Amino acid sequence: MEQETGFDNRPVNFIVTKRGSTMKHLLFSRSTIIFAACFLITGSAFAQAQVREEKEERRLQQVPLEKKFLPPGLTAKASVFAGYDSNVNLSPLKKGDIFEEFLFNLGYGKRLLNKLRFSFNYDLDVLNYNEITSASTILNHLRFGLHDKISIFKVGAGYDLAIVYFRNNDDDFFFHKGFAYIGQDLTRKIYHQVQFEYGLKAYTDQKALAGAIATYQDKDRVDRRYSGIYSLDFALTPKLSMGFLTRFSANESNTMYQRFYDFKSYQGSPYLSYSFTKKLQGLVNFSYTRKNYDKRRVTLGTDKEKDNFYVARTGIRYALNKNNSLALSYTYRDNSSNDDLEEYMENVFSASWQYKF
Amino acid sequence: MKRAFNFLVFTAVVLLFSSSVFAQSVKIVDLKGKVLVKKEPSADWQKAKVNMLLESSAEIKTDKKAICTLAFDEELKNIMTIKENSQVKLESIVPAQVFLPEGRVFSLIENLSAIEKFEVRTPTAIAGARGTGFSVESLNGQTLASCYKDFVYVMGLDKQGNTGEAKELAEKFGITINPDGSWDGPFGLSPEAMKEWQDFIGYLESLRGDGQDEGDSLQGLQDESKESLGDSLYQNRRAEEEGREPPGDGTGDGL
Repeated sequence: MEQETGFDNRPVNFIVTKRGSTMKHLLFSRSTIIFAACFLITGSAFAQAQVREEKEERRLQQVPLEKKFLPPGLTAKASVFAGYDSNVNLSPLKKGDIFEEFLFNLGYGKRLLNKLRFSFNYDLDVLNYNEITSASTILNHLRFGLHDKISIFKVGAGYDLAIVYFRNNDDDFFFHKGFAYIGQDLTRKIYHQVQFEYGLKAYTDQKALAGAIATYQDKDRVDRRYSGIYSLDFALTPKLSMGFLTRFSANESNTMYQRFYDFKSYQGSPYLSYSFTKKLQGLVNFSYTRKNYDKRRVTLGTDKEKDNFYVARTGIRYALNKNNSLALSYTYRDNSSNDDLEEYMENVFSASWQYKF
Repeated sequence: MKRAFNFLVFTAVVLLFSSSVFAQSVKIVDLKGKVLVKKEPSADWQKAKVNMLLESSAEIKTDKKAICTLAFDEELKNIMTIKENSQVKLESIVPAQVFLPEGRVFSLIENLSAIEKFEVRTPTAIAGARGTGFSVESLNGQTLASCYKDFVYVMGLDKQGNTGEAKELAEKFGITINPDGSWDGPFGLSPEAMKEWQDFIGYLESLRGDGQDEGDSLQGLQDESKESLGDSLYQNRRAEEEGREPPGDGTGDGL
């Protein structure tokens, strides 16, 4: 029989552990754990909603909790969306379409040593347009990371892979990305982080442009993307959080004609999230990106192309209970360019239901 | 200049005040099932709520199949989960001292300096954190202390409440203190007990948000996919537009 020693170095038999197990079974039945995601104090303007929520809580607590949970560290959720996109092809000639979308997210986190932690995420996003099927996509996304805390700094690095498949066109690509970051809690409520990314975007069915717009090299298009991101997050109150993100990116492609896809971009993106009640949350996000093409000139012109790209997103999410939530969202995209063919505007409305496993 | 100085002083005072408020209270960060709290000895029992702050002398009672998780800091480094059918009294917050007349608690203490000391007292023993992870169970006057990580010190208590000699319990060992003050063990913890601890760690990681996606990478990829389509269609539109012009010499004009 295997033996070990305790604090006083006396030999100890493992058989003794049955005492502990017996005691455990008296008090500790199959452990089931609820992952609560609640927010603080509801506002007076939402008093009625609060009363309804409390009634619902009381009702739920009377229901026996026999729910089976995922293994520790694992989170999963599935969402379905339906909506309308006013400009599916991001073109000056707007053409809208109705879409449906299915999204599945899986997250796994495990502590390896002390503060070293491993994380894994998988996302599957299936987007279907009813008429403009060339814009329908299937996105598979994997992300691995190692995260540690060294002194006052949070550091991490990892690998990110996205595989985008277009159902009815040849724009499919693999996007490999390596990332590394260092972050720090400035105070208990303020966190900032610098992240560097190197990405390789490999198109599988799209040849790289040769010396003219409609001629192609005998090799697939490959883009290399270098990015530096600085983000600042404020958890101002339990209900209110906000942040600001800036990103600098440089894209280098193997296209020859006017080095068509080589650009440098600068992005600024503030966001605001507010919990009206512990079940109702609102989010506003805005981003501005300036894109300067290195050599690309405007169509039939001599000026270098410059784009100003604006995105505004807003939405509300209402938690029906601990597993189910409903959301409404609106996205506005606007590209203001000195090339008329690149000018476009888009509105996307969607409603979604999310289930947390 | 004076205004800026006043502002800095004000900010410093607010920050100091807010951190000291938390330092003298614990927060309920998760609940399951029926959990009652008594905020002070003269108060009535009331339903516990997530994010409720409790101060010293507060009591917590869990029903069958209920759990209540308390954080002693905002970063969730010092955490105690009260298991079902337990009753706990917070005797002090800093240093952290908890009285467990009946029931079971799991504790993960990763920043002991923030709370100076962490001790769980039962009618027959005191168990305290020297390292990070342990559980204490009190049932019918018998105490079971289990150490899952680093070290725990354990002291027996006589009927007058006097403490005996403190002994260190090593990682993966448990000990039982009987109502008459005698000790059984230490004994190696069973694989099931260690699995319970791993489950507890996984549960804490999920509370801390570990395993969630880092940043908005999916949103960025959805945008990337959309823009790729837009780029491709722009290239086609441009080819059509430039196709009306006389063809070039094939070497391109921007190389």
